[in-house]
Amino acid sequence: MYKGLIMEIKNDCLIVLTEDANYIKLKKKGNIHIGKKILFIEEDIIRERKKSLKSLVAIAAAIILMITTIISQFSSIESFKTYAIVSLDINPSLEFQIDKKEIVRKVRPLSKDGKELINNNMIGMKIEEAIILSIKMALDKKYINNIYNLVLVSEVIIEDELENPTVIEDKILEKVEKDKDLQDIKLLYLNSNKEDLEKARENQVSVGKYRAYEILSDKNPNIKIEDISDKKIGEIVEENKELAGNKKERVKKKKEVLSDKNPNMKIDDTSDKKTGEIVKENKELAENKKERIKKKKEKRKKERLKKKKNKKDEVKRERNRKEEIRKSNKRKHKLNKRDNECKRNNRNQEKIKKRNKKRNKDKRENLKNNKSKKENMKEKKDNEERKEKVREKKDNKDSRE
Amino acid sequence: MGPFLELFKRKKVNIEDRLKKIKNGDREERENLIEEYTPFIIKSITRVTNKYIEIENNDEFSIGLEAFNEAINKYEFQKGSFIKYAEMVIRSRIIDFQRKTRSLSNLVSLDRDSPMEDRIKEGLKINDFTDKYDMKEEILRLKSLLKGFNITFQELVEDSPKHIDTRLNSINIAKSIVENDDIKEEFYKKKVLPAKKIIDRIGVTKKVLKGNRKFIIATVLILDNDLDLLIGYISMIEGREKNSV
Repeated sequence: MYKGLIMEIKNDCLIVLTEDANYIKLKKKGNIHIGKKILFIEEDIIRERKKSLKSLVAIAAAIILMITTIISQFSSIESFKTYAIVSLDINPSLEFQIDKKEIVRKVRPLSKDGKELINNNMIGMKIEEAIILSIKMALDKKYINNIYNLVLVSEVIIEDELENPTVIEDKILEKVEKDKDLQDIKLLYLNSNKEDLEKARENQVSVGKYRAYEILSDKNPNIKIEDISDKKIGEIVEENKELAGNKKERVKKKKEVLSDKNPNMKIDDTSDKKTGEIVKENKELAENKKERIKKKKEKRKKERLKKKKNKKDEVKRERNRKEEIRKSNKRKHKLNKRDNECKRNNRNQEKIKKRNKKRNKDKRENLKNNKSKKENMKEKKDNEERKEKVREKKDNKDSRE
Repeated sequence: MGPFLELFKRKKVNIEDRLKKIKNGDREERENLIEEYTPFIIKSITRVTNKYIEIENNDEFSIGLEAFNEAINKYEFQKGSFIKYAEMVIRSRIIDFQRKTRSLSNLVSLDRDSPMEDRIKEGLKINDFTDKYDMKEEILRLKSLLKGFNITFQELVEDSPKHIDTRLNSINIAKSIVENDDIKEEFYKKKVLPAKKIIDRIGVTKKVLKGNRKFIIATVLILDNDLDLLIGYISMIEGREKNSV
């Protein structure tokens, strides 16, 4: 409770001198006259500065929050772009998202068991190492055994625009061959594209499996995706030897490369042997691989160059077209101008002609008029003369009379 | 509103015990309680009247106090919150009082209709009627004096020292300025506080003088211009201070 003396009355407040000699603003209420002493309480006091400060601080804090959230979002988006997606099927299926440097950024299980093959350390690893790690884990948990020892790897490159598309297949193959624990494993590699990825996503299968399904369905139209999705890759391969045949074809290709230099080798030799053995037997294969990699790279480079050239050509063509169009336009313009000029000239001439005609007409008319006038005059004169003559005659007559 | 609510919440646990004590005949406790709750009483009254309570004409305030006292006596513990009950009692008493005064004034105004009559009556009621009008004159004079120094009451509200000690200190500075004729003359001539002389003679820091300049000027003007009522009002603070110390 305070006591105060009313000093001044303003439009929206009172100014009061309190008993302890403080000047204070109060809310306005009914009965107030200068010089009255009143009782008032904390509620009635108007304090301005604190409020404004508080609100200012609150606004500032809100703005800072907004900015920080926005920045953090942007930075998280920009930091990582998936460069390629690699799928791994043993039967638990996994999907790795990797960046430009082939480092794993995200791991996603595609089936229920898939979680068992994921290690938290995988994120940040090189893709080959991550795949080998998960294969080893699959070995430990006996998803892979002597009968079903096939692993399907498939790669989809999402960003084609990058300059050095790396060949993960060969790296993985090399690694698998080097590792003694993994020598029993057959690795099946299928290269896929974006369309496959989209379709695989639609059917909720891994890309590798979808690709395998495509290959199978070419020869066996009765197969459905559902049949494949739940089975182990090894089973699928056993059931459908076509796929294995497909694999053999690939091996054949390898063999052909070898047979160029080793004409004694037979296809059957390699088809039964594991890739590792083949490589061991033929050290050249390793070199060949390198060559292959180089070739691939070169091919891709060439393709890119071609594309670029094509693009450039297209651009040039477009430019030429545009220039031609411009030129033709210019010509048209000129022609049009000429035409217009001609037309104008014609018009002018016509006008002049018309004018001349008019003038001529006028002249003629004038002439006519003049003539007629002259004639009239003549007539008049004649008439007068006649009259005069008549008069003279009359006069003469008169005089005679 | 906020701080009061908190106050009540804190005391709520105690208030029933205290009421029990009072009902058992503890007079001191009763006075303490009433004193503590005067802000609440004032709030309840102003909620009905929407007016500030005048100190000189404090019928409403005393009625409010009586009503609160009555509430203490009549309160039964089963009735629920004491605060709500007390507010209700105060409100009804104040409304009764307003009706009475209104009917009285109506009667008077029927007989002789003039606001002058009311004023005279008021003046008769309140002893210091003239006092009030003198006070008004003094305040208006102070206002015009302050205008000469380009100071308004508004600025005094904004710039006067918030702490009571600095205010007391400033009042003392003002007093010593008034006592020194030399400084006072210069003050009136230049319409500024002669800082150098004050700092030399009275021994104040420049900071204090600058910060409280407007308040000191106002106090000097009050003290030096025979505004007796205002002087009395201001010097009350010192008496209080001494008592409390």
